[in-house]
Amino acid sequence: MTVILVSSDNQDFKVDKEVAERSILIKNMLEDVGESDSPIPLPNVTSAVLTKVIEYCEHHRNDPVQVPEETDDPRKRSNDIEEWDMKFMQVDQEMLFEIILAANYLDIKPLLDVGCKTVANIIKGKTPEEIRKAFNIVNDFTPEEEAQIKKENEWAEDR
Amino acid sequence: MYLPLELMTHIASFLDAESCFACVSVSRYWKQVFTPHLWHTLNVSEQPWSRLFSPDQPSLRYPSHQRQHLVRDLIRRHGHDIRVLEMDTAWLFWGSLLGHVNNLLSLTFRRLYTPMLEWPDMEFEAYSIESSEAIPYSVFEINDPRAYYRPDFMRLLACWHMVLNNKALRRLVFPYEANDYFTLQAQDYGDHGHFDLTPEGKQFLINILSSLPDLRHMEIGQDSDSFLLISLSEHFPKLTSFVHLGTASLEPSMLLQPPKLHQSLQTLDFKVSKFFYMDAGSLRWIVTAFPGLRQLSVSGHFNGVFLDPLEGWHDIENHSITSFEVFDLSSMPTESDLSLFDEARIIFHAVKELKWTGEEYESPGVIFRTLMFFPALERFKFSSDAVLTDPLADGGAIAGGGSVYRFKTLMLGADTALGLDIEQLLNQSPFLTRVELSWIRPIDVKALADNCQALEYLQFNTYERCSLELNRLFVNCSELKECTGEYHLVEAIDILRSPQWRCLSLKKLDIIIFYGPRAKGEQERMLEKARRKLTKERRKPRRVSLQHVQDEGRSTQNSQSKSRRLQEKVLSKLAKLSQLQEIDFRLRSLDQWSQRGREFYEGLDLLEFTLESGLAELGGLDRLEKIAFKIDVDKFGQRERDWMWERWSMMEKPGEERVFCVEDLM
Repeated sequence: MTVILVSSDNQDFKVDKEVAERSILIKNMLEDVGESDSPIPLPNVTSAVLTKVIEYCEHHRNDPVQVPEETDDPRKRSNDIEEWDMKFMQVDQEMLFEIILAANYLDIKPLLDVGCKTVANIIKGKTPEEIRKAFNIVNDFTPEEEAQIKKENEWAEDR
Repeated sequence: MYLPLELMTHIASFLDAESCFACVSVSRYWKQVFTPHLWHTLNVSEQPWSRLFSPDQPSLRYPSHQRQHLVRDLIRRHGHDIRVLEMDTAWLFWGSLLGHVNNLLSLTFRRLYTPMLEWPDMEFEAYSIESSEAIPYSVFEINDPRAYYRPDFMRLLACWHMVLNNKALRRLVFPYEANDYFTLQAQDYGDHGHFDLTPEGKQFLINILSSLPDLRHMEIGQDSDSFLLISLSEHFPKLTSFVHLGTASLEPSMLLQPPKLHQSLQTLDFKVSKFFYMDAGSLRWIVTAFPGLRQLSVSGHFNGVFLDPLEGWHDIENHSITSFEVFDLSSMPTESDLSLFDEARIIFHAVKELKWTGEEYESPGVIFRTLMFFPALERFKFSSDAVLTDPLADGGAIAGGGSVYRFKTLMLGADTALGLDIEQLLNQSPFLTRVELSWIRPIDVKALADNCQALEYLQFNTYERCSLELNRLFVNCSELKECTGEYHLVEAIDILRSPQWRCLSLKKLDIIIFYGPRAKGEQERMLEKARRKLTKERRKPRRVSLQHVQDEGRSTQNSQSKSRRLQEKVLSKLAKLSQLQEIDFRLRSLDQWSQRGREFYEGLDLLEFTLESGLAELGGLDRLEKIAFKIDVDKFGQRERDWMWERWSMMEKPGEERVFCVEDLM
């Protein structure tokens, strides 16, 4: 059984129901609507991004459902990305963030995790200036604020 | 670049504290996102926090008193962001810390290694820590009122103040050995050397701990354990995990009353020191009181788990313990424990995993006999530095021979020098899929080959050549995916003579192929085999000599071309293992085994890896990612290099002298 997904720029994507249901959003929609052939509009996702997302879902169509572990430790590992996923995530930064946003909107937890881990890995080991450069972020601190932050954190720079 | 707060927070959850420090200085938005995360978990012994908090890591930048001011200021500003705190109690002194940290989910007091007094320049205003209605002086073990103002006592008071200030706590952990502290007042109880809290102390504990509605994990110690254990069902019905930190055994007094059921407890850990007695009655009490228990552990520094032959043990009816899935003992049971298990007819029907990690044991045969009490065991892990001797030597044969064990996993510690006769154990364990053994004999490999046909992952080392046995393994164990370890020596001629290998899904293989000469023991075995064959066939006796057997091997080396044909055949047999990803032909860790190791490998004529000797036969192994071998570099010429590069995109791995190791570049 297949479903039709419609991207924001009005392109139709025909995918297996099983693949589309990797998205919890779509899964719930299908359950609510019941048997229906009507296309599902996804106004927040462009066709370029949707192509990538479907590629991911196709590859992971048989994965078991993730059970979230309950843990008090909020720090999770980011170095456990599968090889295929790592290659999949080798895209330009704009696309990377688009994928994260789409994964969040479509509620595809494993894709969201892989995306966020990829960003985390870019951040790791960089100085603030290098991070700004990497993500094209404007430093909007006033010189006073910056001095204050530097003073507050300089103990952490002792090695 | 912009992502909403929710997603930025998700990214932050994958970052360590060090990285978060960089993030808070990036921009205003990033500061807002990452600051709470940075402060979420503060473990003073982890970087970067230890650079600030640990007194034995003097800061390069700050003199001690300045560092204390810095901590105070930081905690004032960020204390409310801390959710998980692990610290030693020296820092509790500061009122700022006590007053501003009030959103904790988890609080762990570490054992205090650094006495307060080692801090120079204590110019701080010490928070005036005094007794209060909730924490009265009278519950503590303290006789002289002057001691109320001693730093170590104020620390203890501060601990309890901290608990009072954090009503959302889910986990509370006091140090393992609280003996360094003033503790709660306890009184000697009877003549057993056991202590019990005073009624006032009990009331204090109940009041303060039950004021934490979300508490799930409790680790208090201070002689309160037995009392708390009995009180769990009444006062802490939601607790899922309890650690018994007592130095003594379970209180016999608690056994006098029948247990009240506590449904939610899943983990019970006895972290004990000195002697620990668990008699059948206690064990039974626990099993009855906590029907939801999934894991029972006994760990810590002590001389052994003693199942105490108290009166009443013999009266216990046949009792099955069905709820545990994991039973963890850090020490071996003793012979007498076993007989008690036996007399009490306690069988652990649902325990799937059994671990022994301690060093104590009475008799190695005990290991095997203990297994009888765990009929559903699937994973058995034993690791110890102890050198075990042959259990059969002291009458330790497996009792109930003929029964079948249901292990899927068997790991006998890498550090264990096993002189252990595990052949019989293997013979009775047909369901094994994963086996890790350290040093075993050829006969054990044979047992694996003959009985463990579900085997998928095998790792072992051997002192003795087991050429025939390994071949047998490759013929019989068709599910085998990995076979790794050291000194897996196989003679080329045996590979050719062996029936078709059926281990076609093999992915990882360590194998050392040689032409001879055969080891002495093996020569004799071959000889014996040849003699038997002759006798069996009732032929006219032919002269069979050691020379004859040796010649079989040697004759293959007589002409070079013949030798190369042989190599080609061997390699073409290996080439049938189409799933191979890693293959290692090297002798390793030679220096480790000075005399024995040298004897073992010296004079071996190893397989060549040149195109003439059939390297090209391996060309069809599409999945190969790593191939490693030791080779005379002169023989391995540019042609071979080019060929390997072309075939597998592999290159020489630099830096390993005399070892030619080729690894995937990707």
